[in-house]
Amino acid sequence: MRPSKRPGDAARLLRHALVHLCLIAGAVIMLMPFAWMALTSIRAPAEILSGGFWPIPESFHGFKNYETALRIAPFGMFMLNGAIVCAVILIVQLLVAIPAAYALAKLRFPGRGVLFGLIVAGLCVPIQVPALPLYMALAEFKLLDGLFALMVPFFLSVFAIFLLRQTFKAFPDEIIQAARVDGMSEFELLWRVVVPSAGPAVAAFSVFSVVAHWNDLYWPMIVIQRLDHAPPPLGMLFFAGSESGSDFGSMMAGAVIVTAPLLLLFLVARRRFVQGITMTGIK
Amino acid sequence: MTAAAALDKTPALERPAGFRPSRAVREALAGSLFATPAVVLLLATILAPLIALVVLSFTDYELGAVDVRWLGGDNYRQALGDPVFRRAVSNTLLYVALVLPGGILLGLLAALAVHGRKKSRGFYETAYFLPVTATLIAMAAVWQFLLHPRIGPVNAVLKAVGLPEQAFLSEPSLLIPTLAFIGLWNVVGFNMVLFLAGLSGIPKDLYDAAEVDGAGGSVDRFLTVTWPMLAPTTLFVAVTTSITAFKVFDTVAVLTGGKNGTEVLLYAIYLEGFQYFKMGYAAALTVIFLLFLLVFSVFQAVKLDRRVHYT
Amino acid sequence: MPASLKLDRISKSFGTTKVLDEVDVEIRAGEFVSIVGASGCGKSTLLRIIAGLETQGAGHVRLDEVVVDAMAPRERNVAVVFQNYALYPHMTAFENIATPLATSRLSLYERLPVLGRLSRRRAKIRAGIAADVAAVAAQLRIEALLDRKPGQLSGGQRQRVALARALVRRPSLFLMDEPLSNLDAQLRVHMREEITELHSRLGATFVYVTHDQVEAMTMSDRIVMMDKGRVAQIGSPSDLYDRPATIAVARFIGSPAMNFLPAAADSSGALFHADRRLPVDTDRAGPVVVGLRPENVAIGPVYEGAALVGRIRRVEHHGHDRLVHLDLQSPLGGMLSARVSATDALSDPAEGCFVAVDFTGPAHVFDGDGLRRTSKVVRLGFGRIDTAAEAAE
Repeated sequence: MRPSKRPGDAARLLRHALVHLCLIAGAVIMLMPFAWMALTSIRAPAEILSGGFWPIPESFHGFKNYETALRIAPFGMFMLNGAIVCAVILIVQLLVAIPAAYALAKLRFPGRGVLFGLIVAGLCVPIQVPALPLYMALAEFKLLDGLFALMVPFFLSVFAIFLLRQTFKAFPDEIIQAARVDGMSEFELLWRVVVPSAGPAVAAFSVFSVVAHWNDLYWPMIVIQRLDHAPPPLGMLFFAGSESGSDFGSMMAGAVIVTAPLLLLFLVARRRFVQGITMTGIK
Repeated sequence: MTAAAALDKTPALERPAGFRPSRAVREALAGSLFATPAVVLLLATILAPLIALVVLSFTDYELGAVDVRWLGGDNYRQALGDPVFRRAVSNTLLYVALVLPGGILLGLLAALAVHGRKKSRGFYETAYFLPVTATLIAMAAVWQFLLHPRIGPVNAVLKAVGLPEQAFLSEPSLLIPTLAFIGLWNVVGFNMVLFLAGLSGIPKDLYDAAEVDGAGGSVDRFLTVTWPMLAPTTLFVAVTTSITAFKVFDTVAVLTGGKNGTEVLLYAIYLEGFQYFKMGYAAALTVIFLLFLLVFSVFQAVKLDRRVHYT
Repeated sequence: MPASLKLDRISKSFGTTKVLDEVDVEIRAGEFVSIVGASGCGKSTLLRIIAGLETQGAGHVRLDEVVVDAMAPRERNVAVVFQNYALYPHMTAFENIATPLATSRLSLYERLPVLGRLSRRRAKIRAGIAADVAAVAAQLRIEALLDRKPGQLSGGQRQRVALARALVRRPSLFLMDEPLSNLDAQLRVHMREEITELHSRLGATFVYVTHDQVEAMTMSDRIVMMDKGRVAQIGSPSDLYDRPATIAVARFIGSPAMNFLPAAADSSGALFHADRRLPVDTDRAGPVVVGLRPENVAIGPVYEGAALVGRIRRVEHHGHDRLVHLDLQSPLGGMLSARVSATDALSDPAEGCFVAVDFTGPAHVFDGDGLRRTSKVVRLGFGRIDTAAEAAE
């Protein structure tokens, strides 16, 4: 652009190429584990054990590895558990957070300031903090080792309330007034007028929530003992620690199975993912 | 709590029949009603556990124990004197110290490089962000294989180019740096996306002004416009990165299991509380963990202050 | 020293759209020239090319007869005041104004955040910069604001800081890109005066881009009117007002806007509007558009043989004069507005009245391509409002 600095075409090309070179080198490091995971999952055990870094498998051994993985660990059940847990958590989170966020954004009610203060404070309390007392309470009610125990600490998402409150706050008051004048109840007003306009924020939060809870390991590791209630990360941990620990081929096959759903979701909905991240930064 | 209490106090229901409560009362009623589920859950899953946690941290409670003694600050004293816990803290801080600057710098560099790309931007964004979405525990297993001393490809490459092979996952001095490298790999794409958002928020005419003012060289542009305008983003990235790094757990669980001197805070808490069931002691450790997090969060409050001058 | 500026067949395309097409402009040293035009006419792009922020596709920019095409903005010694001021939000007003001085007087290494402090001459140069900033601040009366950041300043104050930043290094050419468009109406009028005053005090060359013809008319020595990437006309404000070269110029310049009537010229050059002889002649036969400024339209009582009769639709009161909007009573329809002095004998024309329309001043005749043709008003004069005609209707 700048005439004086307008370097010769060759120099510009060189600079351009250099940037790309660095970016590609970075991309290789970023993607290498994924590539190796996929490649190893279809390699024969003998070839894996011989070491080396030649990427192309000598023979296709995929069916065997995946079959072994599925035989040793019930990945289908892990995935089903993961799907149920993520879906229920997300639905309850939205059902709880949307009215609360609307109340905080647009309605005057006693204690609003205190509640909002607690929500903001709650933002810096991760699950690991209340984990101990929650565990004891669940043990008391004999609820450990079940899907409910997996989900209950996450029903309230202070982050969802915070994010949606910011979104609802930007919703024009005039429209709300107009809807009230038209005789809409607050409940109708919220779900039929305000929420439809918050689509991007809800979608962004949904992505955020599903990713977080599909990938969470800490809490499942605490409350789940029996494999038949394990979500994918816990299943993976069990698998990696079990006797198959040296059978890297099927272990990689397991890793592929566990990571594939979110990776595919990401490739399909990259914009939403990025939006979800960016929204966390715009406060 | 207050909202629920207020709900009870609202006198609307006692009014004589036919009375229509005023707009303000109805609004307060609706607001309290809407907030109630959140308030109940807030009490049950955050506030009450927090109080219980603090109380617990002053006792010697163990799961299943019959009698409980009040210890006062003994748990905290014990924690501060415990070499294992102290190592867990110093390991965690070392991990943060490695991931934080690297995560900011690499995220920023990647964002600056990707920002100017047009056609290839989508590809790079995808490539760098992929590790963020991938289930960390599964990827940790992949890294375990990649870094395997005998059959891992990384050592195979080192050997091929004539470098000494490394025991990344058993040599004590290499363990935390190895974990930090994986942590970096995991967080760079996240930070890059945040920086990209920050970059696209910088008004273009500021760069024009810098050019007219003679600050058109790339170093000058960066120092006069880009870096100061990214300051709020950078602070946010720093806070989130340090909190994420501080919560390191998954990779430790898979790769080392806390052995060979790789205790980190969360893993120590996990072991004390949920493996040894020393609830009182684990509660004290958790309180210390929370205090660390609060320190990081204070910076975020500072950030909000600085925002004001930027509009 | 003020610089002269010469634009030599400047062209520029963005993709396939041509935004500038062989623009030729010559600006003398010390002149105040406005570039006006509707949005999208290429005026801002032209300014950015002069500044060196954009590279032209073809043609040359000459400053003081030197081709500067390959020079960075800084080397051209031009200053730009941007539409949104483009103040650095993280710097105080002082630092904003000092930036152009710091970049020219300190080396890159001396400007670095921490390392720069190692330089021994830095402190001395900084003091010199501070003195210059103070001098400019005094000139624009913003001494009290120097410690504030742009976020703490009002629109007018930011404007002054932006001016100060442009002023401080004594450029030979000032470029301003709609600098007043973000101010409220009152402040705009005030800043108009202030910038004109600044120009006469500095004697520098000013190039001022605006979409507001009033700004262009009131401030400039000369105006460059742009239309669809080309120069439509260059001239003094009165040139553009009195002899618009194209119909686009005629439409753009002047408020209230010029009236236009479709007409046709016969072989003798006499103009007819729907078979009625207009009191205007031109040089050639063919379809034309006749432009008339409202102050050159007179209304009076309907009389026998009046070329045009209008019915008063609305009267706008502007204090010293009135603007009378008429519906033309012609098969072609159309509207016309007349500017009537409030002290005129017929100062209170009633809505609904019929009046005869006459031309009291120059009529502008444009051909089918919108280009100006010679014309001459052949007959002046009017009678008085004929109330009988109104009653008869």
